[in-house]
Amino acid sequence: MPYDALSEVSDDALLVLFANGDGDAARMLTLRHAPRLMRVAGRMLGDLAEAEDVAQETMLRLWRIAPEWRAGEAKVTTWLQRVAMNLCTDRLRRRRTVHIDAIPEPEDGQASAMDGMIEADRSRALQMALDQLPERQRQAVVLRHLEGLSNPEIAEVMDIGVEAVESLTARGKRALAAALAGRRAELGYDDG
Amino acid sequence: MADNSDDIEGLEAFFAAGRISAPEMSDGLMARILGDAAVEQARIQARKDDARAARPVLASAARPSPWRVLIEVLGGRKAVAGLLTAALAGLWLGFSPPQPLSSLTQTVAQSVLGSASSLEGLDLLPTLDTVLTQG
Repeated sequence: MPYDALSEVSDDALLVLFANGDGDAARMLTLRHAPRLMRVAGRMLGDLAEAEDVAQETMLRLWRIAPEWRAGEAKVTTWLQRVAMNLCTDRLRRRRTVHIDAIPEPEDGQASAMDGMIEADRSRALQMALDQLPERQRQAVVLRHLEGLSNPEIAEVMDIGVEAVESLTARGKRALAAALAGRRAELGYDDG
Repeated sequence: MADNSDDIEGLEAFFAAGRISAPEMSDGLMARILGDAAVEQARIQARKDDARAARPVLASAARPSPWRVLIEVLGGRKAVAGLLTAALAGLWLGFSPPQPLSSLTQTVAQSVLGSASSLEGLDLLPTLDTVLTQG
């Protein structure tokens, strides 16, 4: 099948093509899903190299399950997000138990004198605040407010109820707001 | 799109910044993922080839016996059972007919032959005798 034609093909059908040896199907699935996996893992882990590893491992699991994939049973997007989140959780737990001393402390004054601060710096402040959230709250906030998933979609990814998602998101946002409260003036948000 | 309907103390501004400067997929990661895909596709193909190679052996092992073919030709097990029953019943009636059947046979013979009490010596094709004697 021509590569351009694959853009209209469903994920389920692409997996069938992949299992039948179609290399273009692998490329299309990667372009469709890996960027989001990379973003989510990056926000969850705060480390680009680890995020890349998670994205690669998640896609590898998709390749391996392709021959047995049952169309219509689960959405590929949801399945991938769930796998990626579980891999992130594993890494965060390992980090806490093994590398707890290796977590860098925020540098004092890093965000001081930030008139006209660029978006990347604001994003970095957000990341530092996200890093302080409990894992589940971080997952819910990242999926809801950075990836734009609906609450039912997040509930499926996290394997919890919609109400639990709402609760996690609300608590996460309150904690974020508290963590960022002291930085807002520095980051230029009080001006408007 | 991300939800910004319930913005708490300007958090949405941070989320917007986070979305703009989100980490992107590098070419190196793309190459690694596609490399994994190629390896897995080769594995899947190899498994299919192995399964295909094993199939002829299984097919010959499962070839039906001549008896099974015969049974299928005759219409299946039930049909063959019916045929066998009928054949056995016919044999039994032939060798050892029940008394009522013998009486019936005798009655029919007497009505055909008149006073003859036995079927022995009965000529079923008497006109042929002339032909045979004339050569």
